[in-house]
Amino acid sequence: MIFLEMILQGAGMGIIYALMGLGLTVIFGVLRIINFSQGEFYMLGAYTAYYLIVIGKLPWYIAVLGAMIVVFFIGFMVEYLILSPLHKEGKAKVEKPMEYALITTFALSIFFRKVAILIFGPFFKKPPDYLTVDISFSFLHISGNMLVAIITSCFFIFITTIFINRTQRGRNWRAISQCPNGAKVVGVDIDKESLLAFGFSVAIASAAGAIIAPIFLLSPLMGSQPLIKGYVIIAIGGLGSITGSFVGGIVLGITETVGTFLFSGQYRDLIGFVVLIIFLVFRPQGLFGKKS
Amino acid sequence: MKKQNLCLIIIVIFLIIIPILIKSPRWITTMNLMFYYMLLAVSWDLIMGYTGLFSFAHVALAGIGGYVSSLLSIYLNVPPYLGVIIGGLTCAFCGLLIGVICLKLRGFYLCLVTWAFAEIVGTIIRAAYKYTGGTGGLVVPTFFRSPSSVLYYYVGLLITVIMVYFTFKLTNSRIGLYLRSIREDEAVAEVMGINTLKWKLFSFIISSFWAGVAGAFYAHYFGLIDTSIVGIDEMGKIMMMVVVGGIGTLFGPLLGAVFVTIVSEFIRGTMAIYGMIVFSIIIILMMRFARGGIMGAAIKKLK
Repeated sequence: MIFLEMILQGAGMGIIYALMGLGLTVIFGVLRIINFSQGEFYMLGAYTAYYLIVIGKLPWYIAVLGAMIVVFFIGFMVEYLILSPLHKEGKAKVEKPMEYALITTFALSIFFRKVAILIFGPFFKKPPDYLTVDISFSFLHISGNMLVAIITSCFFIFITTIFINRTQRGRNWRAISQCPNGAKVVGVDIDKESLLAFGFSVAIASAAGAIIAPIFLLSPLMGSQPLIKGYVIIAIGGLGSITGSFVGGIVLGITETVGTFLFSGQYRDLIGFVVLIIFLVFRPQGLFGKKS
Repeated sequence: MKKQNLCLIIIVIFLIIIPILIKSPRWITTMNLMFYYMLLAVSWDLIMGYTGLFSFAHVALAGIGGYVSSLLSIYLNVPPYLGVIIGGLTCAFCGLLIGVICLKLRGFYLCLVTWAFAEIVGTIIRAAYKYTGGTGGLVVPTFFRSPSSVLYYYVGLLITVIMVYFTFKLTNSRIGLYLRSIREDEAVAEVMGINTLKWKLFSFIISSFWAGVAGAFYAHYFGLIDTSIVGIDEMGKIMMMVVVGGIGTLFGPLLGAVFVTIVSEFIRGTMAIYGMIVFSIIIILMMRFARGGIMGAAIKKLK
């Protein structure tokens, strides 16, 4: 029975990783960059929600929404100020977009971490529980916070999938990710769509941070592991596939929980790395990716 | 070519007599730290600026070099100068492994794997605290019995001069041309008959070797090694040196290393956090408005 419970816990963690991976997939598709500061937006989301709950006395679902809105605008500004040369033509054009994006987002991530240490302090914080009662079916026990996290993440993943597949905006983003020049020809405004896509994806990351806040403690460095895991599940699931990141997240979550049980908690973060290496060696295109 | 050689010889002679001119031990220590950063910055620029491979594992490799050499000298009494070479070779082997796994794939995977690798190295060093001392650090035998920094200065200078000379020869040879062409356009390089996989692997291994040597030098100089040298801030500093000095040049990262080391020596302690904030802003501004760095601007002026 303990294995069943672990698998459930692992799947719960996996869905939250999948939410992280989803944001990264959107950025990779539309802007074609690796965003290293995504984990810091996750951290900012968690802290915003924390302060909205503790100081603003708001219920948690409003706080999560508030965090998403705040981080959306921060992301908007970051894209406008730093990343916009990536899709400009002429004089401002960047010759090596990947290199530019990697260095700037890495610097941005250091910037956010240090500012967070100054503003929020280096100590761990914990918001009040979102759902205080623990749920138990005959033999399965699951904490209220975990249940909230799983349900909310599933909801966000569902909404995002609908948004990308069914709306005009989602269609524009898919068009850009398939062929930027073609999208321009049919009248898609790449500058505007990039701004919105970046804001949207960091808002998703902040939602992930905000709903996981009562399970893990808040700290200015909390963003680095979820970011690595977000990219690991993208590699497992296949670059640019939403189903892939969902399945990849669950695979990674379960492997980690079972691995921690079998080996030791200290090496928990190694497990994801081992899974990643196995995939890169034997199936580099991921579970759902196409061979390039 | 003759003029260039003369310039280099003058610079080297100047560096040799510096400890005679400057007596302050604080400056000599700063210079020694500078050699460590120069080794890292130039070798990172070799893969990033010349070959176009983006690796986050550079400080982690320096950490591996440092810890391997330290543990060898503590448990097996291996002399430090031999440990430096063994540390370098261990890192070259790690570089080979990383390269074989992900250089065939898209650039995305190299970033991901090197970054995960850096986190893993940090995790292992912290978790295996029985051997590595964890975050508390490890006391390491030094190169010499005497505590004078001047002797170490010459060791650092020797290693750095060898490395700079080697990199200079490498980047000005046919191989340097191969590497640059891979950075400019890999597909075209492949069409021109360059074995891109082989040369990417080659530059990755060479760069990893120097990172290991740098780490081992650091450990045996300070006599203490801890997990802070594999931290993400250190990688930020290396990046800063290369970006400020000029990506894809040899002397740019050297200048950047001098600048960043002196600045970060002056703002130690509680001020360090503001220093990192300013560094990250400088990196972003340089990338946004002056992508060539100091060397890029200088070359433009000369032309």
